[in-house]
Amino acid sequence: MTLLEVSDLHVSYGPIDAVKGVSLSVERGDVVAIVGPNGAGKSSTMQAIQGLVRTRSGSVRWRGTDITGWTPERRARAGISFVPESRGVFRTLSIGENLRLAGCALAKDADVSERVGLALRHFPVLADRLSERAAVLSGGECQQLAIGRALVAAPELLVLDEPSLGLAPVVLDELFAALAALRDEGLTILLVEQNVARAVKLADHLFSLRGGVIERVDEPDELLRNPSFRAKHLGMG
Amino acid sequence: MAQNLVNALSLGSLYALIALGVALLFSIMGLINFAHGELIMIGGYALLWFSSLPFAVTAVLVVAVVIGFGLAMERLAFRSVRGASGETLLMTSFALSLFIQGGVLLFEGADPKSTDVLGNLGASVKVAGLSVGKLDFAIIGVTAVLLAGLAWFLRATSLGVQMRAAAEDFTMARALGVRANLVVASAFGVSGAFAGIAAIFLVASTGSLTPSMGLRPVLVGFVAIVLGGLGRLWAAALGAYVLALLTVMLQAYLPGGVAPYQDALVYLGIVVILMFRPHGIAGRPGAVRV
Amino acid sequence: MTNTRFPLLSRGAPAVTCTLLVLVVSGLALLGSETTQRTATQMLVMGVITVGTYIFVGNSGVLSFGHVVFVAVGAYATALTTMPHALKQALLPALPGWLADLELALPVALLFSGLLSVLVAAVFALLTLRLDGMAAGIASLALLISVNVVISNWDAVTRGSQGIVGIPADLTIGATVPWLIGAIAIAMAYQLSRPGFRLRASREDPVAAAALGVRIRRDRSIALVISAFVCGVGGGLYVRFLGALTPGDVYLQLTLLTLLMLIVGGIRSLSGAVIGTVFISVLAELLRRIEAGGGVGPIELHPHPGIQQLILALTLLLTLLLRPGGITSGRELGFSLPARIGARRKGPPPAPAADEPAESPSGVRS
Repeated sequence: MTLLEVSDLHVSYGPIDAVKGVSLSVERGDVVAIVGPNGAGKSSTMQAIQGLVRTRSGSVRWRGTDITGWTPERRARAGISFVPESRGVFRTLSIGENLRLAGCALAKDADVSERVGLALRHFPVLADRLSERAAVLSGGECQQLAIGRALVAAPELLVLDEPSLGLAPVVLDELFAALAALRDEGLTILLVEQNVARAVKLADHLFSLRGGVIERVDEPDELLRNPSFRAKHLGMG
Repeated sequence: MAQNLVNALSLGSLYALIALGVALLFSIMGLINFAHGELIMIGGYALLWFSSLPFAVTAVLVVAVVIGFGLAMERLAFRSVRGASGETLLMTSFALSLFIQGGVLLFEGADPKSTDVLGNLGASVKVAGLSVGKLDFAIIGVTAVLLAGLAWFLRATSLGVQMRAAAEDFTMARALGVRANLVVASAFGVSGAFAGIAAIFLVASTGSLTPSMGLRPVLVGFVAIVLGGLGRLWAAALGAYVLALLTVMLQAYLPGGVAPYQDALVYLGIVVILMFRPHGIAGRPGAVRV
Repeated sequence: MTNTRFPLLSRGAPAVTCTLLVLVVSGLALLGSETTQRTATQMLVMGVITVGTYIFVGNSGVLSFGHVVFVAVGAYATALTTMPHALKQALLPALPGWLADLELALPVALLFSGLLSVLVAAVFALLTLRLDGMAAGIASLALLISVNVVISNWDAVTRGSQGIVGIPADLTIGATVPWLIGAIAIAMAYQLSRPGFRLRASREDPVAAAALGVRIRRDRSIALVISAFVCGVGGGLYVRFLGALTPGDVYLQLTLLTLLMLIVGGIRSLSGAVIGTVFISVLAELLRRIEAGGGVGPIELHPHPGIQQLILALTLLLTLLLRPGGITSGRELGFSLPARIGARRKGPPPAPAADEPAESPSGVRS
């Protein structure tokens, strides 16, 4: 079943076109990764999916329904959980409050504490520190909190914008292990990632986005080894 | 001296009620709400309208009317400009403030009206050699309860946490499912409740009403949030107490020749503070949403 | 950076068009009753004040509630230097000798008023020019209040809240029009000058302008000084229109009226300032007649006070909600369309031409 379907998406900031006709679809249970150089329009695409930037044209469909005009909160309540590049952790709130906050996307009768418990199973390091201010967290811990918080909302689709950004290699291992575990539990994930090697390992499908235009990569493993692809699509030598 | 401190505490409590109402909206949606003064003014007139009822009923009705006005303001005017620049929001609230004043002017006239809600609150009692008005007691006590209540609400309830999150990063809060309309309307509701209660105390101490009576309180609110640091809720309350202390002390100790210029000194002080600390005394650049 | 390929006439077109508008409205008013003529005079005076405020607010994009301070300074300066000597001695016995003896012809007094406002503006610049956005708005408001407190209590010079009476109220349409045309010319000349162009560029994108070496504070100071001069002159005209002056005449009500005219007309263009003044003046006069209507008493008594304020506030509110750029939306009135298009295509930051407020990328708007 197709969860998310983006067709011919255009996003522009004033005269600058950031996204020029991106189309992609995410099937339930799949992990889809988008790779591409800086300024390729990856973040804008992710933000448009969550409704945080206004789309100029094109559509976003969620389980068959056109949600292009929906507010971000309505999308969150429909089952899309978004972790932005900046993590979006509320520094003035405690770690526990950050986690419980995502509970407001759940149905009224849902048990938020139970969801928080489930999320903490994936990121046990947070469990002892629930009353601490989120401002004290390190970069890696912030990312764990951000993803854990997204899980509290019981998402059908987890959207991650550059989860590896600014993290040390050892922290990255942990992070991607956690993401692989989530994938193995059947969670659908759409992520933007500059670390192509890790993206390829995690993802079922790979897209490359460059200059606001998207392209499907059919044989990720092979292409990854192909130097001319690396140079052309990923902007690295 | 001790007498002055009590006066400052009472005045500061009134100021804090007003300042928190203004600061709450500013921290959540970057709105400096001129029309907050008109909420207080409406509260004053509501006091007059319901004055034949028992005081407790009147008080509840006054607060309800002011909350209703606050919510209507949000729905009819501010929702359309949400996310616009601070200046646009400021001008919108300015226009709204004039509009409400015009309405009251039309129906109630420009002449001052007087009302005596004070009743037996006018009396004062001797405490440790000081003469403290019952009204001062009421203001200080009620404000303390309200501040504690607000603190509890923001910490312990889901809606309160959502409001704090929205104050820090409105967009991210929405991405997590926080309903923008609910949070903003709640903020207007709380702001309105504070304005209603402030109106009761204000009219109880001055006893008179005019359509333009909202200006002074709202300026006090602005000054307090600037003093405290733009965008920080509790700092605004602190700013209110500091302003009250300053006002009372200037009143008590300024030499006679300079005394009439007291307000000029206070407002000039604000400008000087802003000159050196553009984000308020306790403010950080990041805390301001422009 | 100004486009030199087009003759001055076509670049100055908005000023010419605005002047024509002013002349036509004034001419029409001259055919009307005495009341109409008085209203038109008031409109012209407000035009000077609005255009003066526009020079700073419109070009810098910094909101100011404080410009009425310059109007106040000008008003008191003109009042004190042009009122009859004997009356001055009777009303203000404590006035310093040199001021008590000073009696100037109106044009001289107006220029003196403008210069005095410039001095006050220098102090303003020192205090507020570092501030942006809402902090600037609040600071200017605080200054307005401070100055009002001072003039309300400075009995020796301003007669405090009692106010000054007996100032000749002899202003006519013919005597006011040249001053408004002068104000429009000054505003246009500033707008076309290099500092004006730089300031407008910084309004559009302060970061980029600063990166290009625009010293915003200096350019804002220049705008503030010119703005204060025009507002000071406007204040002088205002007091000669009123014939009496209390601190309340140059306080919030006037601030509101000025901002109302600017925003409804379109705060980002000179044409907007002029059109807003004409539009709001006509509307206000119509409302005043409605307020006074029903045959209840003479016009000075207002049987329905509030209607005027109610409708004017509603106008401002609807403008902000439905057409945030005002009537002109940042465009200038002109007959030289090609020049505007040329300027728009060539200048890197959009020149005086159209500028819709950019949607914030965070998309908080629901």
